[in-house]
Amino acid sequence: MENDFEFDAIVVGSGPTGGWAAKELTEKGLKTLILDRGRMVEHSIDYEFEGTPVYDMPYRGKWPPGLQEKYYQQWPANPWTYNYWNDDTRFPYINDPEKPFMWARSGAFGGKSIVWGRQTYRWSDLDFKANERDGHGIPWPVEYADIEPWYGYVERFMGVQGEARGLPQLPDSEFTGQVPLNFAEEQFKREVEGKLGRAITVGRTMNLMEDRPEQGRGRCQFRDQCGNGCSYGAAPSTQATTLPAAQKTGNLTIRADATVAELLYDAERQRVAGVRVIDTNTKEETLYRSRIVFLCASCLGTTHLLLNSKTEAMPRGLGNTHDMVGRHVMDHLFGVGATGTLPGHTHLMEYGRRPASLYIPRFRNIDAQPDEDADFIRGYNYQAWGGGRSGPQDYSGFGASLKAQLRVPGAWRLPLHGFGEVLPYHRNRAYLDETRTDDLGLPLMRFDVEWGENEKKMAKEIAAEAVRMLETAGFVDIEVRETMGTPGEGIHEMGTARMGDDPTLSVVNKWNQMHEAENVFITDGAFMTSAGTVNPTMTYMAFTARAADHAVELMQSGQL
Amino acid sequence: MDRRKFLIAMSAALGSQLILPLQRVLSAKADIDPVNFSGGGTLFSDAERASLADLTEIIIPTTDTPGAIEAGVPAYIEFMLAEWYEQDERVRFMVGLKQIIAYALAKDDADFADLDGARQTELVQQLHDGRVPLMQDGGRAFFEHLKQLTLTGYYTSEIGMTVERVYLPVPGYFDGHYPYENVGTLFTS
Repeated sequence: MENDFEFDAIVVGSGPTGGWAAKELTEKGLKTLILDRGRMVEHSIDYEFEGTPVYDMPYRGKWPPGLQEKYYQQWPANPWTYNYWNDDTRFPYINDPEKPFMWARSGAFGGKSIVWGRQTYRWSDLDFKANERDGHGIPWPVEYADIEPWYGYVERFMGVQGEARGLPQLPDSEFTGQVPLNFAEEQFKREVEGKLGRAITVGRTMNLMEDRPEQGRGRCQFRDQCGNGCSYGAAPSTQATTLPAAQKTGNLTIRADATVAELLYDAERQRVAGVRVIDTNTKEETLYRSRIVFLCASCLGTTHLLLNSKTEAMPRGLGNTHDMVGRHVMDHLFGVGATGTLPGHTHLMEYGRRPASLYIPRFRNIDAQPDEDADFIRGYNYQAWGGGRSGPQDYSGFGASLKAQLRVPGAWRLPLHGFGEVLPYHRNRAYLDETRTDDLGLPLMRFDVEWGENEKKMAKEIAAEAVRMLETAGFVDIEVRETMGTPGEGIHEMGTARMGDDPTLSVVNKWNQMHEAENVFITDGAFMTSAGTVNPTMTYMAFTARAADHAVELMQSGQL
Repeated sequence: MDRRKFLIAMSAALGSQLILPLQRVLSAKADIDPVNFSGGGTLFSDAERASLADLTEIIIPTTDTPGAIEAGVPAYIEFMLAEWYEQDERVRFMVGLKQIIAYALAKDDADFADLDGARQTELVQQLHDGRVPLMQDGGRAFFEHLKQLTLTGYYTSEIGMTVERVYLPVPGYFDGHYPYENVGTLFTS
């Protein structure tokens, strides 16, 4: 054990929250070490297949033989993005075929900030008060007013595009620009707003719509390349946004290929003294010590780390005295919806490729819990990516006629993809396997997660309402998708180290600070006490900035 | 048709004495750059390579834009068959190609590649219609396989993506009401 360094703060993980923790802590003067288990990915330089057209791709964009096997559990990985994903041959998880769970894991510095969907929505008190109101899970110790200024703080720095609508269930962000709807979406919006009285808007995303030379970022170019890495810095990767800000302070030390195996708990001081790191490649071990630690390792990464940090004082893992760590795994219900065709209007098509499309904000169980005619609680919304004119339809024959047919795009299509709130169930958990280990000798994660009755009833309605709205708007040839996605497939896993006032029922307090180790802050998705209806990432970012602010206050006042 | 001549040609192409060498050739890895197909693959004989080129050009011909040959489709197919497809699929395609060459030899006493364009197109029409004797589904299965590889090869080629269609790497903005007549084809990325 060599190389003992002293830092004010260690940030574990460099995704959307790790980047924010590093930025905030360094800007407030803390000497900060940021660690990520993945390989280094430098902004722009390491976006290997960014802008590579199919004709320049090996095997014309099909997986090179043998390569996909390395990413067999990473279904979102593709030949343009595999460098950003976990090597499943070295670091698999145990997927029980009886109770499947899908775990998308990053393998790159920047974490999932490079590849995420960028959908960005504020929570409202409809979300923060949900547990308290219907008695599922435990109450949130914070409300919208506590987090509202931090949303604005994050939005101004990152750049969020969207349309202000003044909806109580979906508070407006401080928007920078707005992506337009396409022709078919406009018709859908007009008809559904007019006939059903539901608000329809454009999806709100963290894509920069203006040039910001002071941040080294340029505006979105409508390439639809976000997940391949965006050299314009319009897509909100850590390396394009928070990392340069943190580096500018001179207070940041970066280490990639650094897997944090364990948090070193000092029972006497009831704090974590540092972290044990294993080099992902050389397997060399290093200890790093710091005054505070921010866990931003992704919900399930943080869960693994807490459960693997076993001591005499906490034999079930750090902060797990009451068997709360790894419990209440949530995601968003995903996979259900419908797609319809808008007849006619084939003289128009799309130019450019948007980073957002139509969005249908929650309209269910807003005034009553539940609405009189609803057989489930909580709510859902829809995104609509993948629409526009479909591909050519007439593939018959051969020769010049076939070539001409293939110059004609198909009809306007509009897909509605539902995202539903999932309840926090104690039985849904992530835990460590007792015998099997990965290539670094760390225990493999396994899962026991399944949807409950509320989710199943909600899924039925999501599909039915998608059909109803498409029909109302004059769409035809409607294909309905009624099969619920597998837990984890929404890639919104959260809730395994939840926030609450009661230390026997929760893992962190209202400042994201661990009840059982007050110098450790958990600000990735693990802290989420309920799942809410909307995409969660900006909420994690806002809580991260707020927690960092509080941590520094505590340090300055001598409490930490 | 001279059925006897056809059967002789077919057995020459597919006879049991050829199965082993055929398998060996089919399983050989062509030494080709995965991006810039050299066309110097080891999968086909010269006659097969020439026939395949003509077959792809009949499916996607040169019109106001280049056709399959100029877009490098034959080399793409040879590369993908050699390097990417599973053995059974490769064998199925090779068998179909050998069969149509044998059929042309039997019917016209000439290599497919040496026939004039009109006659070649007639033979492709026969494949398309499933009217080639002794081939699976009368040649329809091979035709669909050939067509699928040709279309993929063409529309993922530089010519297919940038000349036949309009390549738009950096659109810069979005317009959801763009007039189709401005391009008269599809955009690619």
